[in-house]
Amino acid sequence: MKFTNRKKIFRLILEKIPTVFWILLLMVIYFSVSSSNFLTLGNAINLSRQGAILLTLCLGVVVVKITGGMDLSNGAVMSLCGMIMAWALVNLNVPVYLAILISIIMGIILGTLNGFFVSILGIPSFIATLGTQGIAVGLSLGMNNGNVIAGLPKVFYEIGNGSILGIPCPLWISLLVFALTNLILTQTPLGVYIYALGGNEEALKLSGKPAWIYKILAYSYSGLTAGIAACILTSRNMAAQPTVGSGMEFEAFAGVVLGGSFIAGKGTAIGAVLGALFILVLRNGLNLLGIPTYLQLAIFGTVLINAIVLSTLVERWVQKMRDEERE
Amino acid sequence: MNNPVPLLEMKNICKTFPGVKALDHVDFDLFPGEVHVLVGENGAGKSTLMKVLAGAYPRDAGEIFVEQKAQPRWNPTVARENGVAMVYQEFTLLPFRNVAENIFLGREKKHAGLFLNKSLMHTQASALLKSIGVNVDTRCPLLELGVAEQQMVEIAKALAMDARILVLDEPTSALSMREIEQLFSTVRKLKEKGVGIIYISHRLEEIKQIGDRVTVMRDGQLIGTRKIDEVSIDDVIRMMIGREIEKLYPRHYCPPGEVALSVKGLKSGKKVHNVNLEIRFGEIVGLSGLVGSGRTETARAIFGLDSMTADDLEILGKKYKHIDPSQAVDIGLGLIPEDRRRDGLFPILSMEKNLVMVCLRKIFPSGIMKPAIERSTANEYVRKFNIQPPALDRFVHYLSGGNQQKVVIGKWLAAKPRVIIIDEPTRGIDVGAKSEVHAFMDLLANSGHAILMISSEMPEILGMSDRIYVMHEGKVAGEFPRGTDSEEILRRAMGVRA
Amino acid sequence: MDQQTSKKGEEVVKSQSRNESNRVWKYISRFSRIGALVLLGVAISLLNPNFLKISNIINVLRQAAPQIIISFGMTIIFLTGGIDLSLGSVVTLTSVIAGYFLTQTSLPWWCAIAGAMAVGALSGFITGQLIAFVKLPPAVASYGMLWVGKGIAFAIMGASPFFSFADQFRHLGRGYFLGIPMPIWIVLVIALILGWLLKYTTLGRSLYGIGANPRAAKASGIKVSRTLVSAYMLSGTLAAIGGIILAARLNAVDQDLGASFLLPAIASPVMGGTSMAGGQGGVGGTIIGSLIMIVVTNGMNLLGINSLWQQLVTGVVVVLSVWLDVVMRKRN
Repeated sequence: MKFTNRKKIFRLILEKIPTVFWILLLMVIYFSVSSSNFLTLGNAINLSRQGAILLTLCLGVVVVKITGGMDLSNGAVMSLCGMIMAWALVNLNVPVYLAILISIIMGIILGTLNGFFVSILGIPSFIATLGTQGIAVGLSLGMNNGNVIAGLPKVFYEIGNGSILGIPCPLWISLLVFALTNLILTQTPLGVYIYALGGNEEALKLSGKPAWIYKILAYSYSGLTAGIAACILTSRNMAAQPTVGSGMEFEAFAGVVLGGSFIAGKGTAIGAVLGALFILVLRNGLNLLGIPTYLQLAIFGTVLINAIVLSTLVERWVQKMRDEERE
Repeated sequence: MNNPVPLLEMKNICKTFPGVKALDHVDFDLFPGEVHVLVGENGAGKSTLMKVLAGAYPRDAGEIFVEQKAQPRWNPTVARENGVAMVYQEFTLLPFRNVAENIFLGREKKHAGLFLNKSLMHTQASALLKSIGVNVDTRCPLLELGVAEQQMVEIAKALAMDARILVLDEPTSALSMREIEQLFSTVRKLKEKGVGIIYISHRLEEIKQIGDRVTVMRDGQLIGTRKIDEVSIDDVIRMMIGREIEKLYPRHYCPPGEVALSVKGLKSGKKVHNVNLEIRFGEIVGLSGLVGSGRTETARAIFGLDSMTADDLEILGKKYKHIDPSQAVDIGLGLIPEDRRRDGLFPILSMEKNLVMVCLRKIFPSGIMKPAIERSTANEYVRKFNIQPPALDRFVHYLSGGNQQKVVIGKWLAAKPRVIIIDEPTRGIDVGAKSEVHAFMDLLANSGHAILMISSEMPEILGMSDRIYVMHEGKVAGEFPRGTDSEEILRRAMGVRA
Repeated sequence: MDQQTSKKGEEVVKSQSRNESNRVWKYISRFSRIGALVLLGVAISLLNPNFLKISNIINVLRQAAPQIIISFGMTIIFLTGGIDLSLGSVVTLTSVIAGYFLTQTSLPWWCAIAGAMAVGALSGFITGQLIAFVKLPPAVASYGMLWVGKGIAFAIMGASPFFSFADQFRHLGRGYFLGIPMPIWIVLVIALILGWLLKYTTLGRSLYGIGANPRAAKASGIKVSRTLVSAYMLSGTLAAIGGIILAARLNAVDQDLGASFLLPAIASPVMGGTSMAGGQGGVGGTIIGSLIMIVVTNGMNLLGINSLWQQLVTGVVVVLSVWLDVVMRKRN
């Protein structure tokens, strides 16, 4: 009896706390011990400025992932939003707030395009979003002949590099996005429907709700976060580069999966943050340890595949334990 | 029945599918606070009647009244508005979400029209659950609950939608004894609330415990509606079977030979606990039992489709610990599946490709195919089974049910198995094809094959089998010789001791 | 009895007419693909007469060769009902491997080819294992492998690209045989082998069976897991061949070599009539599908459209062709 109780507690721990949390903890300890620069305020601030972009993207991707989809377009969407925003700032001399609005609206449009492909045309999400990726890459390369847009107004610099109350602006922005995502997912009917889309779409339809609209909204939201991330990124670089976001979609996907959203209907905003932190800490730690950039991608890919396999096996074990407990 | 106004009346309902009269002038009614049990063998028309009630099938003829108001327009929405609710198992539930969210899915309680009012949802959900006598933590995710509790949540969800006519379809098939008691007390609470319940079950002993009236259906027709105190279980069984065993069955008995397959102590998954059986060459062995008694799972376990353990498994004189399906094909074991669309056919491939799919490795051991041999093999089985139309490059998707079943059987026989397990050989096919399939089976057995036939149709079991095993709750509950009385078998299948 | 036979007769007639219309549709859709290709060709040659010059056509075909071969790999995966998002990065990885062998070791040139093909097969083997045994969804497993492959390619290459390869190796991309470029010969040989494999071997037939109905395939005694792994290995090997030809033609490899091949590799089989749901299609259609993709790109070049826009067109074409596939499937 005692034995089975212990097993149950173990299962609940595995189930409630994403495995990535423990690995993150171990990594923080390891990097702090092996590199004296890791646990310093300077590094933390630097990390949060860099990391806010990925964090913001992950918070959009997790919503799509909960519905059972994949969003492989957000890196390219982010680049395009940045390009358009920079173009508007430089060529039209629009005020900064309008440029931000343009970026966000552009993100929502492309996200909604994804949603349209998936929900109405019935195209598998990974292909629809790859298609949108192609469209976004083509547009951002084509609009300025593949060149960087620079010479942005000085005011714009603050978004990515300023601080409010000693906390970097990008961190404020991503915290706001986190609060919004968490609010939607946990406190609104919309959140329930997003989870329902992944858990049992049929149930949602049977309850008389227009499931297809919520599906589009999930992709629109991911587009929105890409638009927000574009503002931070463009401001940090003070330039828009057409392929700057390429590869970010992978980091966002990896972060979300590691954060516990590896099957449809599962995932939380907090998990997405943990997953993003995992990737940031891994990258930062590898940098501090002096591992060259060209080796880091191979490490990322391998870690991700192994983490997915591990999560899948843990999930299966949890399922088995649950069935045994019931009998 | 203090209230004389019937909640629901269905009069002269008819429904015809191509080739089958599924409902033939059926009358059915339901009073508030009543449990009306609906029984009948598979294919008797119970589920068709319920689908008409839910609005999923339009009726061909007949009338529906709710509280004596005629309902000329009847579709899923109107049915729901009139309080009709079906309870399926785990069908409309979200596994990772909590009980309250599940109960109010699509009808969430809100603060300021925007945010979830979780506390109100939890209070109302637990009040709702308490009112039907269930004590579950409404914050618990669904997959932490047992099957019975999930069912209660499903019932509570229906009540939250103001259901007055509740259909429980085989609610106890996955429940343990204790859980059944829990379900029954819930049903009694529902009666007190004035809900009318249509209760479909194969377990006749339950009828006496929970029912007020019982309606028996057979072959799409209403056989009779009786007050529960006025009938015995034996009466109900007699009404269910009714007909004489037709002389349609062509079985020519001949004495069996050596043991072809024997298994002892077979266990697999949650549905097969301890199965012992043997089949001899030249013999058709019937495997009878209720839906959910573990017959199909037994067949899948022997064939290696599901993981299993057995104390002893001997096939064609050799002992095995377990086999996988490709090995089964190699040693001469065949499984003709129950659900031919899901497990048997490749609908978007041609008839020729379907027919040679199992015997590929046998007729082309080198891995290189010869079109002429492929074509002649396929042709042989098209002729043998009289598959219509005999066009080899036609997609099987376009064939009729009977011809599709012949393709599935043909595809297996092309691999020349010596032991054949055949699951529901004639489900959903027309009378002509049925007797053709039976004739093949007779021929096969008499040419020295060993056949295990799983069937839910009592006449088929009685008419075709040389020997009959009856399964009940994952075990073989009895073995009967040819010519046993059908009531005896049904009683054993329902768990009634001899 | 009479009634029964007449009913049967009716059924036969009905199913025949349904089948006839089905067959007509099949011809229309097959014709429409070739028709679309011809129309495109005519339209472009009207706008720019250079398009129909033999030299341009041969040049187009030579450039198309790697893409056609990679699309063959995707075709095989589509037949099983899966997808392999890693093919583009396998192209990068294998061409980098070949480049490494050619420039950083003193092994003979054919070792580079063998090494690249072995790595392609190994990558497919791992993807296949993840799908068949760990039971990850194909999109997730192959998306992870995409980045593993890309990462390893980066790691091998370090900072500097490989270039300037042995002449025998370059011959595969630039050489001629009987007046026709080598890549075209390679495509033809592979197409014949694959066509034979899919049509006349039990392995090919099993692929169709798994794609048409995986449950029935397992219940019919087909070794589903093993066949799936072989399919992914085959597609990985094909991607490697594509990478080799590409490296040989360009005489250099870099880290972005393969990425742009993924979208056309998805679109080409689908436009050629291979259903993403599995069980239907073949390599013949994929050639036509690839040619349409190539003619579109080449046409854009000839018409002076900035090549930077091409990704946009590819993205739109992918979405449209997959949508068409979804619609056609619903019709059935």
